[in-house]
Parts: sequence; structure tokens; C-alpha cells
Amino acid sequence: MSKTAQRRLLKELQQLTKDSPPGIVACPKNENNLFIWDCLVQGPPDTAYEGGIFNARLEFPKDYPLSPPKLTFTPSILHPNIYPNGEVCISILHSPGDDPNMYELAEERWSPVQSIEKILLSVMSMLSEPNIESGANIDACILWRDNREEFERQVRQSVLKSLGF
Amino acid sequence: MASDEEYSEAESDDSLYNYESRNTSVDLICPKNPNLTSDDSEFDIDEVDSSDYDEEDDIDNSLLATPVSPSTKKALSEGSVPNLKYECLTTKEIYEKMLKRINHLQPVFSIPPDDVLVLMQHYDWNEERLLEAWTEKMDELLQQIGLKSAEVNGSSDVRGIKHRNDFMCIICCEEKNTDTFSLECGHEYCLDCYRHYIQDKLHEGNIITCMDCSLVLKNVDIDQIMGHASSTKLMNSSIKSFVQKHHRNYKWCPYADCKHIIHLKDTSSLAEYGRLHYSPFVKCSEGHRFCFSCGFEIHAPADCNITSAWVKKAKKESENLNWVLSHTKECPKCSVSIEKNGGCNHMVCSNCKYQFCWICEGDWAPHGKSFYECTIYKNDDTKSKGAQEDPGKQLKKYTFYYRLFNEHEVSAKLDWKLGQTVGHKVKALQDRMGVSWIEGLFLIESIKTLNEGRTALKWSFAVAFYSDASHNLTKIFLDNQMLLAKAVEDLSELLQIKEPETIMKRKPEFYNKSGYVENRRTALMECGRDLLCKGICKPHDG
Repeated sequence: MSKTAQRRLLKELQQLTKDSPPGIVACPKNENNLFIWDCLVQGPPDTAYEGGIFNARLEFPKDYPLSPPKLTFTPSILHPNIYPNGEVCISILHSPGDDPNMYELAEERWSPVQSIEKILLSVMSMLSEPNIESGANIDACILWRDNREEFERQVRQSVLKSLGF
Repeated sequence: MASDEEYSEAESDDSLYNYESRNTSVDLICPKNPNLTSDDSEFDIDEVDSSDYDEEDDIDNSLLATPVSPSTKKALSEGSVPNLKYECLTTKEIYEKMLKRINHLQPVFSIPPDDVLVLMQHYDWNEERLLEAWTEKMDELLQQIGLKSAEVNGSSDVRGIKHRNDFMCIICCEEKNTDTFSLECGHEYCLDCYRHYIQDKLHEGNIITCMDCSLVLKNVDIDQIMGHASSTKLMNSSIKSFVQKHHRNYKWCPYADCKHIIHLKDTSSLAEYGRLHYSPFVKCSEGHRFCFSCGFEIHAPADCNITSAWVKKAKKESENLNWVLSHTKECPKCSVSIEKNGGCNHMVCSNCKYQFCWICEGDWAPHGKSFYECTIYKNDDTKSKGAQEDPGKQLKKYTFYYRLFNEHEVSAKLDWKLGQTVGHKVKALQDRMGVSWIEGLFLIESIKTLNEGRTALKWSFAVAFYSDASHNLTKIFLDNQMLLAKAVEDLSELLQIKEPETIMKRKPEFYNKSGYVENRRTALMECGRDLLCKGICKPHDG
């Protein structure tokens, strides 16, 4: 299976270098290991994250693309769907079996036809539209819901800090 | 034996022993709502045969059953529940019933049985809900579940395996001449990728869909792709999750490696059993008996509450009582270490030949003739009755009973081992004494009685611990306990005999002693239930 994963990852890398969507950069951390990728995600315009460039790490399992990869922001960012340790919690990164209540639609879940590009695009849309119904960072959820101004202020501050200002 | 019979007769006349079992059994047999299945919307696979089944008939039958025969009474007092209707199934049988149900329903839907199966799985075998949804929005439902492609022009692709040259599979990114599979949606991938995908999903027990849309892979598709009957594996995991979801009606047998499932059709009487402090014991086809309410082993005379309180307490106290669990004791005379490797409490030191009782470590002689005194916890301070017992004393009392409980648990395990070898004993009887197999069966029966007696005795210590020691009934209970303990030890000792000649010579004794254990056990059970019903025994955090 590991061979399939490598071939598939190589193919996705080719595709991404040839034609990558705006605001996304992703490539393996080093040439010898295709299973850990570094990604850069641009903060979507017209949101508190605008102007920010966020660094994230993608870790692929050996049975990729059967199982989804894990996405972690390094360092973590303040967002209702990102755990304080940086791990991202969105439906596309979960296989359908993980959700016994069928809370998330099957189409939004991980399946072998999803790709790195689709994951990162989902992450961008997650940044602009948090889903507080299945929150990962409860404090961020509460702040986002009850005091949007303060939430956005804190986000902007950390964006500036991350850019070195 | 004469004296024993006298005792049990005196018992039934004694008002204290009048356990209202007559009323009880009437209540149980004639439940308030005899037509119980109707309001239970949960899937009942047995309705298969009920199409031409007359409900009135059923009610009449239950009314007719009111008079309590002596055997019913006995069964009730045993703690087993005669009119608790249940069946023991295997996953295979459940699957067959499901298929039968589907064939029954197929004409209603007029779609292939495989499609009905998917529908039923999706609706957790709740037919009512499915039929409701079906009549409301048939087409929408088919699309939603993924039995029908959403695109109208999607007919260009044919479901099934095709052979392609230079096919580029977007999953594994390999370009090759290969077999591919796709559903009507046209999402086509190489067969290898499909196999890996299905293999990964089989154990989840959920419906498997196309990798790119919600179109369902039916069992025939799965078997076609995998090349063998893999769908049975999927059905097995599907049944597993079904049993877990309907845990109120279905329970796995808790015994290790036992794959049977008990299906209780009507759970409404369970509350009634709880109220009367009976425990709903069931037996799987392997002969494993367990309580349907709490999934524990047979724990009569204790009810589920006492059992769980006792088990919790045992867990809590286990560190304090580690010493209790040690399996060796020193001979009270010569101090040589002795490990108990047989079920009987009558010990003979192999070193100094001293005969003693394993439980109290006292001389065996007084045990043999008079009552078995070891089961009574002697309350040293008789003056402090009524007042709350101090914690230290509570612990001492607990330690005492827990130790007894544990002794009998260990003994029961050894008895069980003995039971494993009983076949050889019977064989030896056959070979050496020319006894027929049927004639030798009394040995097996005796072991069974011994095991049941010991289990009841074991749990009676939990009841004793939680009972108000000052109450008269508790004293009677302890007397009963003592009698059973004596009976069990006697039978256990008898079963230690190894020589076939002696066994055959003492055969009547086996019968007598087993019968006596049986009687004592029944009496203890009834007495224990009485303690529970009257609230003399209730769980507390002692």
C-alpha cells in the first residue's frame, strides 16, 4: 500500500506545482520523505485572518489515500475549529466511520478521491466561516460567538506577530 | 434425609416463609399489558411468521396460564424466569431472519431484495419508519440513500467490471491495462483500489458507497469486486452494530468466546422483575447462564442492585483485602504451607495429617456432625444494636463476608475444573464397572447441582453483608445459608472420590446429597428474595 501512497503523493505534487490554486503552497518537507508536507495557507481576504500567512504540517498515513492525512498548524492559530495544539478538525479530514451520528454528510467526508488541494481549499473556507457547532477550541468558540470584536482583535494581533511586526 | 424433608415441610407452613410467590407468579404470567409487541416499534425479526397470527389467541393463552403449577413455582424461586420469552441466536440465524423478512417485504417495495436490504440497514430495521418514508417520498428516498443516481442522464455508464487499456486511476495514479469498476455514476477506479477501499470498510458494518458520491455498493457488487463472498463479512459487522444499537432487546452472551446472542422480545416485564427482586436469568445454547439485566453471571439470591453494589465495593476494597486473595494458608498445627487444589473445604494436612476447615482453620471434627458454623459472622458486641456500626467494624464485617465470597468463588472455579474431568470419570465407570453412559450421568448432574449451589451460596454472602443483622429474617437467612453451605461441602467432598468402585457403591448418596443441595438452594433463594422485598437488605456504602 505504501507504494500506492508514494505514487499518489508524487502525482499530487506534480499537479500542485503545475497548477496550484491561489493562496496555497504545499510540498514535501524533504525529498526523501513524501509522507510529511509543509504547507502555507494565506488568510482569506475580508476576514480577520487577511494578510496572514499560516504554516501547517500535513502528515500522511501509510495507507493514504484510504485514510485521510492529519493537518496541524505550526504554530497554532486562534480559531474555533483548530485545537490549541494546532490540529485541524474539519469533516474532510474524517472518514465516514468516525461519525456514528451521521452528523456530517458523507460527501463532506474523507474518501480516496479527495486530495491535498481539496483539503487546503476547505481549510481556507474554514478560516472564513468557522463552524462552532463542532468546535475544537471551546474558548475560541465562545469568544467568536459572544464577542466577535475581541476575537477579531486577537486574531489580527497574532497575524501581525506572525509576520514579525 | 427424613429430617431434611421435615424441615422443608415445616418451612412452608411457617408464615415467615410464605413468600407471596403465588401472587408474584400470577402477576408475572399475566402482565398488565399482554399485547406487548405492538407498542414496541423496535425491529422484531420474528414478525416474519406473524402475518396470519391471531393476537387474541395470545392473550387467551396468557390468561389461561394463570394457575401456578408447582413446577412453575419452583422455577420462579430458582430465580429463572419461566415466562420471559427469549431465543438464543447466532449471527448467521439473525442474518437468515433478516433475509426472510426482506423477502416478505420485497413485494411491497417492488425493487430487488438487495435494494430492500440497503433500505432496511439504513433505517436500522425499523420497518414502520421505513414504510412511512417510502410512501411519502419514494424517489427522493432512493436518491438520498444512494440506490438511484441523481443525474437523469447518468445512464451512459453501466454498473460492473470493465476491462480498459491504458486506464489512469486517479486513486493510485497508475496508468495500466486493468479491470475497473464503476457504478452508474461513472466514477471509475481500478479494481485494486476498489478492493483496498472495500477491505478497509468491511469491519465498520456501515453501508459502503462509491468513493466519490453517495451511490450505494450492494452486496452483489461487493462480492463481484472482491471475487468472493465478502459481503457476509460486512453483514456480520452490520449485525454486530445492530445488536449494540438494540442492546435492550439483544445481548451478547458475556462468556468468553461465546458467539451467541440472546433476543428478548418483550422487555416491558423486566421492570416488574426488578421490582420483585427477581433477576431475569437467561441461558444461551452453550448452556451459559447470565442475568439479562446486568449481564453478570447468575447472582441469585442477590438482585442486580446488590450485585453491582457488592462488585463495586469489592473493587474499592480490593487493595485493603489483597491478603484475602492469597491462595495458600498455613496448617494450623504444623505451619506447613498448603495450597487448596480441590473444591472441598475439608482439609487434611499432608504433612501432619491434621484435619481442619479451610475457612475457619479450626478442627474439622465439629464441622462434620453439627451445623456448619463457619458462615456466621459472630457479632461480638451484642449491646450496640440499633446504633450505626462503626466503620472499623463495618470493614471487619465486610472482610469476613468478602473472604467467604472469595473462598467460594475459588472453590467454584476448582469445581468447574472438576466438571471438565467428570467425563473421564464417567468413562472410567463405563470401562471398569460396565456401567452405561446414561447410568453414569448422575455424576455430571451432581457437578451441575454443586456449581449452582455454590454460586447461590457465594452471592448469598453479598446479601448477608447488606442485610440488617438485627432482623429476625436475616437470622433465618443465615441459618439457611449455613444449611446450604453444609450441603454443598458434603456434596463437594463426595465428588472428590476417585475410585470408580466407591463411586458406584455410594451412588444413592450422590442422589440424596444433590437433591438436598437443590432444596436448600431453593429455600435460600426464596428467603433472600424476601429480605430484598421487605427492604431488610438494601445496598449501602458501608
